Amino acid sequence: MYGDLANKLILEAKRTQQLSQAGFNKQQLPVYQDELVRGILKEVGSLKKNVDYLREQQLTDQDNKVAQCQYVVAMLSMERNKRCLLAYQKMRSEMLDSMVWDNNGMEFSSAISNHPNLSSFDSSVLSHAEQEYLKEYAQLLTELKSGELSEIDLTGMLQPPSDVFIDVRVLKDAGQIETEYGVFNLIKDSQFFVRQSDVERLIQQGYLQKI
Amino acid sequence: MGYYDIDDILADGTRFPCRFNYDVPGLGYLEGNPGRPISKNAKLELPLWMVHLLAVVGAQSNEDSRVEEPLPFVELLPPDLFAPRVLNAIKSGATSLDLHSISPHFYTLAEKWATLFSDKELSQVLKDMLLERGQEINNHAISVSMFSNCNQTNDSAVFLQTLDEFEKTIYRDTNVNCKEMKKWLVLK
Amino acid sequence: MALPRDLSIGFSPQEIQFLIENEPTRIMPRITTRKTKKQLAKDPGAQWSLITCDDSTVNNMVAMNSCEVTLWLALLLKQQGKCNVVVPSWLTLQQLEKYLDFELKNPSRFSNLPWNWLVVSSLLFARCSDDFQDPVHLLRSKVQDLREVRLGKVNKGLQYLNESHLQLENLSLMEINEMRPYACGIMDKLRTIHDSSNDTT
Repeated sequence: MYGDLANKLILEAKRTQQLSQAGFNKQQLPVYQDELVRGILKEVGSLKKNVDYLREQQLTDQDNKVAQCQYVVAMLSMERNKRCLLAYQKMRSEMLDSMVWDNNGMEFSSAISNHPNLSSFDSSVLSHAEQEYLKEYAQLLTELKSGELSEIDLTGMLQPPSDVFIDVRVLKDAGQIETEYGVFNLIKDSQFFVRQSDVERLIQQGYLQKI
Repeated sequence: MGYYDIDDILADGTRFPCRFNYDVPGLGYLEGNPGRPISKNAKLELPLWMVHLLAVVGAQSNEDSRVEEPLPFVELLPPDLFAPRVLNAIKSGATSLDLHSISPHFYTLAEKWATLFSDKELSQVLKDMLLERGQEINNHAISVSMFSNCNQTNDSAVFLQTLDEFEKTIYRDTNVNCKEMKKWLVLK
Repeated sequence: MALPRDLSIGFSPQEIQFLIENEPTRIMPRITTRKTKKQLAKDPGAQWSLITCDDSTVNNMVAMNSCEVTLWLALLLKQQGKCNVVVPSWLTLQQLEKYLDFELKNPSRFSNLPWNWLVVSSLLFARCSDDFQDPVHLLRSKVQDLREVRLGKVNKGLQYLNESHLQLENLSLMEINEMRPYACGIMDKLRTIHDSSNDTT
C-alpha cells in the first residue's frame, strides 16, 4: 500500500524525538535510514509514472469521475511521501543545529572528541549530505559570532550570572588553568572559589560544575 | 500543528472507515485486489490523509453539473473513535479514561473530525475533557520531588501511560518548569 | 534550536531573579562616596560609572543617609560590609499577617503583594538577615504560608481556564511563570478546538 514505507520512516523519526527528549544522551542521532528513504523515492517515481499516464488519459478521454479519483489518490500518495521525507530530514537537521549551538560551534572533527559530553560522536550515523550540512552550519555559526556582534558571546551561558565569585567542583581532569589570580590545577573532585567570568567557559564545556 | 510536525503526520496516518460513492477502476489495490476496480458502496479503511480530500471533493458528472452538489468520492462513516460509547465514557469519567488505548492522537484527530463536520457537540465534550484531564495532569506534574531519579510515584507512572501525545507534552513542560522552580526555591 | 525548549516556554527562575535584581531599593550606606569640590580638586580619584543603572546615587553616598541603589548593588555592598539594607515596608510581621488574613478571607482573590515579593523576600532572608527588626524565622514561615495559600488558590482556579480570557490580578511574576507553560498550552488547545467547530459558516 502506498505510504507504508513513509509510515515506517515517521515512526523512526518519532522514536528519535522521544530519545532526545528523554535526555539520556542528547547528542546521539540514530543512523540515517538510507534504504527506507531510497525505497520511498522509488515509490514516488512509480507514482509519477502513473500520474503522467493518467494525465494523458484525461486529456484524451473525458470520463471525469474515474480518472479524477485515481489521479487524486496518486497525487495524495506522492504528497504524503514527500511530507514524510521532509519531516524526517527536518527533524534530523534541527537536532544537528542544536548540537552545533550547544557545542559553541565547534566542528565535529576527531580532535575535539575529548569533550566530556561528546563521548563518541560517530559521523557515520549521518548521511553524506548531513555531514556537509553540519560542516557548513558550524561555519555559518562561527561567521555569525565573529561578525558585528563579536563582543557578545552568542553561544555562552544561558543562565544569568548571580555572584561575582562562585564555588566550583571539578568533574574531569583538565590540567592547569591560568587566571589573573593564579594557576589552578584541575584534578577531579577538587573545589575552588573563583571568579565566575573566568570559569564560565569551562562550566559550559562540562569540566566544572557550579555548586 | 504544522506541516513538519511529527505527531500531526502520525495522526494523519490513522485509518478511518469509509464508503465509496462511485465505481472506481484501478484503485483495487486499496482493497488488496490490485488490478480490479472498487465497486460502489464498498467499505474500506483508509488513512486520513487520503480520505480527507476525497470526502470533500466531488466528481463532476458530465452533463448536468448545475443540478445538485456533486457527491464526494468517498463518504466517511462514523469511526469507533467517536462512537457514542466513547463519548459516554468521556462524559462519565474523563480523568480515569485510558486515552492512549483509544488513540494516542485523540485530540488531534478529534479536532480534524470536528473541522470536517462542524460537530459542535464533539468539540464541547473535548473541551470539558481537556479541562478535567488538564487539572489532573497539573496535579501530577507539580507534585514531584526535586531529584530527577525518583521522578514519579507508581500512581503517576500508571497515569502517564494513559495520556495521549498532546497531554504528554503538557505534562513534560509543566514538570520541567516546576522542578526548576523548586530547585531555585531550595537553593536560595 | 538556539534556545532550548524549556527556556522558550517560560522564564527560568534565575532569569526572573536577574530581572528583579535590577530594581531599586533603599540602603543605608556605611561609607561616604560624595566628595566636596575641594576634595575633588585635590584628588579626583575614581568615579563610578555603571552601565545598567543610574550611577549618580552611588557616587553621592553619604554615610548613614539612606539612598536608593539597585538591588544587586545593594547585595554586593552588603556582602562587603559597606551598607545596611533598609527592609521594604511590606516585609514586616504585621503587614504579612494582614496579607495572610486577606488571603484566607477571600478565597477567590489574591492580596495586594508586590509583584516581586517571592524573589525579594528570599534574597533578603538569605543575605541580609541581620537587617530585619522582626525575627527572620517567623517572617520566613509567614512567607511560606502565604506562598502555600496562593499556590492552592492558583491550582483551584485552573478549572476556570477557557480559550479567550485569563485574569491574573495581583499575582507575582514568579507565580505567573510557574503556571505559564501549563496555562498557555491548555488555552492554546482550547482555542484550536473552539475554532475547529466554529469555522465561519
